[in-house]
Amino acid sequence: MNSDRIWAGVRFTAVGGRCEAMLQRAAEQGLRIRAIRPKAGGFSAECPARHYLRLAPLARHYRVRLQVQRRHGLYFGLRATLRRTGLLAGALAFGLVIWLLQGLVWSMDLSGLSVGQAARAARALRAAGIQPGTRVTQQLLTDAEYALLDAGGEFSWASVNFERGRLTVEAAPAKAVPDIDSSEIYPLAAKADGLALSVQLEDGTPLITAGQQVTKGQILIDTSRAARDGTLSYRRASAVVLAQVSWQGRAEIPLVFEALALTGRHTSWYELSAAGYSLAVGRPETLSTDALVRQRHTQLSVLGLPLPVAVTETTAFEREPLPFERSEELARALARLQCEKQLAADFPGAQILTWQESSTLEAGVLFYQAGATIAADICQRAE
Amino acid sequence: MPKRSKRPRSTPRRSIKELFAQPPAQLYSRTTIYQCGNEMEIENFKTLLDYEDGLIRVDLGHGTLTVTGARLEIAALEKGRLRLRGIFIKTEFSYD
Repeated sequence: MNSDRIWAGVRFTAVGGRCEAMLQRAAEQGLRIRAIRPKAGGFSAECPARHYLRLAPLARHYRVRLQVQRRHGLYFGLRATLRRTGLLAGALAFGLVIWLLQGLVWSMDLSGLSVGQAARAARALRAAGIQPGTRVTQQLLTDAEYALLDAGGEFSWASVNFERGRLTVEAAPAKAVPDIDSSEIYPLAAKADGLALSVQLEDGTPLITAGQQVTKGQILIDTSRAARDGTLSYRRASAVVLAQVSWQGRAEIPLVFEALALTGRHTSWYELSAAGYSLAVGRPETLSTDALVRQRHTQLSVLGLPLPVAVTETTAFEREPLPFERSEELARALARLQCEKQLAADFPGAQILTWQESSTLEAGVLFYQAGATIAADICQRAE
Repeated sequence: MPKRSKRPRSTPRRSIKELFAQPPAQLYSRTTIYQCGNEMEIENFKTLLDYEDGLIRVDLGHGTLTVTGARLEIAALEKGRLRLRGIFIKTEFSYD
């Protein structure tokens, strides 16, 4: 494939006259004629389009009739377009705009992170002011790196680089740091009245034994320990004292209540941001305070080509207060759940030995009371 | 027994002279024909005399070269240089 065929070339026929002499003369003048094939009364050949113009006078001189059979090459494909200056100006303007916008973020490469990490990193970058369409400065990149490191301690190392419209984010997830003992010395006391079932001592001096009744605030494990000669040494108190404890909880659940319910109507609007400017499209003038607002951040793209414009799609789901009614059984189940949550908060990991409950219904409100006997660790830091 | 011709003695001066010797005059302007497979290249010809289907006649200055074949195509034609492509059946030289 020669360059003439790519840019502009013609295939023509030459008939009549002194064809051989014309060919000889054309070769002497440096005209590049190729692929010459004989045909009745002449020949057909190919030449660059610019040489064809010089061949025409020779053909007239040797009384040869030339006729272009086929034009090929990029020039003939673009010729109609090249005459339209508007298209040319548009292409030039497009190139100029692309060149001017290369300082903006066209794409963000978060491929080194997992899906969840990428979403959280994008949120941290957005909070730091970096999103598609942002004009990047060195200060912004530094801020973005610090924002990633401060993003809930998820990343232990972060690097944000920007080159020709592409923002590359690399980060290493932080490893779990073991808890460091505060080395504070304090005794352990009982946080509720009960009967000690077992004492699993790790450190310190136990002041109770299994089977002993304890009261709330009583010191269970002390920090001092006496040596044989009577010298006291102080150590950290650590133990699990399992005790049988009576626990009581209560909850009030109304059978009729009011809550915000979705109406099924929603309004969406968009905010386009690029190079520090933003444009809101379709934003409603008033918005109910009860509405549930959700935002989605995407990037504007045309036919799959991402543009340096960030799009924030906000959807407000309308809600209105409506009365709801629940059955007594459901209210009791909810009350039981609340009490169990309360118990789990008071005594984490407690084992329920017995559970007694009673409820009364007064003026549309269920009053629930629960009494439980549990086996739980009752140690807590003494005040 | 015929007398053996004496070979000229090789001297340093003669060796250097031979090393830098120029080719004979008109070496590069002589007609040269190369053929390789179905391609033939003719250099330093004078005029294309005749070109028909299956025959091409070229004036070499001191004679004529006639190439007979099938599907003969002039792949490239430049001043004094002709590249032919096709099936060559016969090449014929005639001297003036």
